[in-house]
Amino acid sequence: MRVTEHVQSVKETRRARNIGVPLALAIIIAAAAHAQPQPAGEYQIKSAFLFNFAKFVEWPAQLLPRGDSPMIIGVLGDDPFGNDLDDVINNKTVNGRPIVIKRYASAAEIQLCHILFISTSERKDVPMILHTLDGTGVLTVSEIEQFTQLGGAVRFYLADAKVRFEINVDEADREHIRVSSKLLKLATIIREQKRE
Amino acid sequence: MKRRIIVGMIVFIPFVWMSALAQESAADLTDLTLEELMEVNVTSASKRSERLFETPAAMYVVTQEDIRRSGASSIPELLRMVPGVQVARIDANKWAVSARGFNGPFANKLLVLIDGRVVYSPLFSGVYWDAQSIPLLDVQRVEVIRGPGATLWGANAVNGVINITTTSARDVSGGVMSAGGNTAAGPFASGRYSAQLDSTLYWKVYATAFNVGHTRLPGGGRATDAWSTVRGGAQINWSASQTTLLTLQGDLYSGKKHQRLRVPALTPPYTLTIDDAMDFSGGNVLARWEETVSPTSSMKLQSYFDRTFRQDALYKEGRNTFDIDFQHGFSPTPSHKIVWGAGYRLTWDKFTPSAFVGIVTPSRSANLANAFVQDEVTLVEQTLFLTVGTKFEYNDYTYLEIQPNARLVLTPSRHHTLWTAVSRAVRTPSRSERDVSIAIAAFPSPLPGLTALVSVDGNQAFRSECLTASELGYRYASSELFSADIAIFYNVYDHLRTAERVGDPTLKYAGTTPYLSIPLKFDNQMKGTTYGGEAALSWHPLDRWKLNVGATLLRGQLQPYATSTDTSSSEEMKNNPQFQCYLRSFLNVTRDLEADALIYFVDTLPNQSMPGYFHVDLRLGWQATSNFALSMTAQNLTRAHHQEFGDTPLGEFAAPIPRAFVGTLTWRF
Repeated sequence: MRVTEHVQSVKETRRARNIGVPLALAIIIAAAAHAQPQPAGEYQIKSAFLFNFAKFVEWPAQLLPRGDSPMIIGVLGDDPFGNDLDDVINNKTVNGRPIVIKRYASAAEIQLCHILFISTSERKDVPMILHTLDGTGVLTVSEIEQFTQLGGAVRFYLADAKVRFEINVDEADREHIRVSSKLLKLATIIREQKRE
Repeated sequence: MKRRIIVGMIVFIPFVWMSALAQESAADLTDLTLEELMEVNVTSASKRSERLFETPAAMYVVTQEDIRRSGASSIPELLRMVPGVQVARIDANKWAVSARGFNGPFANKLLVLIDGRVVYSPLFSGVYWDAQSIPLLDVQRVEVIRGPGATLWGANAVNGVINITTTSARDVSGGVMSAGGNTAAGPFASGRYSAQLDSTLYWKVYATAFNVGHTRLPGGGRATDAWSTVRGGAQINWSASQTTLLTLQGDLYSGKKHQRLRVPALTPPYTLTIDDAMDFSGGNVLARWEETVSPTSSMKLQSYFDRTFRQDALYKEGRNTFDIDFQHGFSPTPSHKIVWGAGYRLTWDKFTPSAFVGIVTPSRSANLANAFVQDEVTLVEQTLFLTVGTKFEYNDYTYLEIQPNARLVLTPSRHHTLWTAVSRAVRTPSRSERDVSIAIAAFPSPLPGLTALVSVDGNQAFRSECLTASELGYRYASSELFSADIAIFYNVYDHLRTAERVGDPTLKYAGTTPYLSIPLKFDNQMKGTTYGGEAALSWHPLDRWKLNVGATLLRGQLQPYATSTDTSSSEEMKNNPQFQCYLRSFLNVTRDLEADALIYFVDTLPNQSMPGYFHVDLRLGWQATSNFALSMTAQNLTRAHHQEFGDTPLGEFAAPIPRAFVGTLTWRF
């Protein structure tokens, strides 16, 4: 008895599917009519975000003394970008400033840097690195879990195959960095709780 | 052979051709607005995990991208792409899954966890795969460790550990719905929605439902293997403070599957074939507290309660499990990383026997307690690490079991890892090996009018099966372009399960019908060795083209003791292919069109009379808009039907696996 019912229900669903496929296609074609951004590599997208951070963040004046002072984006530790960062940012300028990409093996090598991407290879040393950079006006960016909780400024994460980011606004304040509302409204806002 | 080559060419030529076409330059991402950038989908797989690369164990990770591009609809189907794992589909709702051999429908040397919750059944130490159909769109990753993982992972981690992790509500946002149909099975749908309540509180809900019809047989007619399930769950994830992460989650499911059984009968023709349906259901709640004490010290406390229920013509089993585990990792000095922990599990069941499956004690509760400690010592800074650890496990059947391991890993440069390990693991007795009696065959006895009935009975003295495993592995990675992962192993087993003749046949009665009872009893009278190796290569020749190749070799011999009367258990080695290999190709034809292929070869299973087979799956995925994706998969393309395994020892019929076309529409919002 149950088996017959089951077979019946399977048949009915098949009938439903016959209408379902053209319907689904119609929906897709309608939706495809709107131009949509094409997918891209994870680190290409992240490179483009770093470019936008350079665009939508204001640094203290002493870090960018002249109107054409270069904007420095650094990568600390094992570089996950490969050529992506150079390819995406290649010869670009933000607000008239050229962008320079630097790679560092250790935090001690950093002299002047505006945006510092800290690789997951530096996971163990994050507290020490952040301590070293305290008050230098560097916007720290990483993918390391708990990065913003540890006092970092921006953390990338993936959600449903899209790149998302958190901003620790308290850290940005500490570094006297002004983050544009254009960025803030798209970010997940993290606030540090007052330490006792 | 000629046909295979032709099939191979048909598959490869389009890929080579398309990859040659696929050289158009990337659009400039910096021209997009921030809002547009937020909507760009990530195509390439994430970079290799450092932790995986330096792990001193044979580990393979199936990522979300691998899952999405596999077109698979169940966990066992996903495991086909993992080197060292044997997967055979028995019918539409049953699988045999094992690692490094000992495969079968009741394979019992694997530990399988879903979000830290153990899903192997203490009844037979195996997994009811039909009851684990979590929606694959919610699976974050599947870690597969071949070889013993007993020290850290715990009971039953003898030949391998499969650790399935679902997404964390923190890391996903918005909704995803996926629905479609499979020409050989039926319709399916899954969905997940997650959101943020405030800056520290995240939640998600998910649900899945599917209906698999009976397999149509090549000669007309159909098998009895329909299967349907409804499943749903939720998770709350709360960052209670900067250092505290609390997770609460629950999961409920209910399903029905059909099966055809051949059971022994006391009257000619001595077997009875019945069409049966099994109802199964269950649910669980899990709470986890993770505390980051300092950058070098973290703690985790986890507890869950799980209920399962199954009922068919053979038996009815209701089971409750309560489990609590604590784990603490810290570095007392920079060169030591210590992990220690303790756990307790209580499981109690109610078993209703049938004419075919009997039981000594209808209800039984079992305790399992464990404590473990492991230290990773840096011998040479950034180059040489030694890990030593042991687990002490206490169970009601065999009391104390000690499972130590030692692992050495050498990382001479960022590109090479060489590791070796020696470990001991035990497979503690299952409830059925102690308490259950199964009628397996009936035939006319030499005494006129009297039927002989063979049964396999539990043995109160059944002890643990033991394994001493030696492993050696090597990994190589040259940037993102090429990576290789090779492992070889030599496993020595003792006290393996056999079924022994005990005493003389006795006269018994089923009601008023007399029969000659020939009992066999589970015992531990076999030893054995297995050896082999696995290789997994990944090659990224072009930005948009990736190839994964894997091969698995498995040999071995099982040797019953001189005192053993069991002649069939030693044949179980031949339930495993001596050779299997796969090739997976991932190609992004354009930014929104993916063409993927899986080619899979499994050698003969002599003990199951199964010839070797090729299995080809092709998939086309089209990201139609940033929200809608359409995927078409052709499964088992080369043959209309093929069979992968024989009937189960419980008399459940196997069925051929048909060619199938699967269409899936996915909507993200």
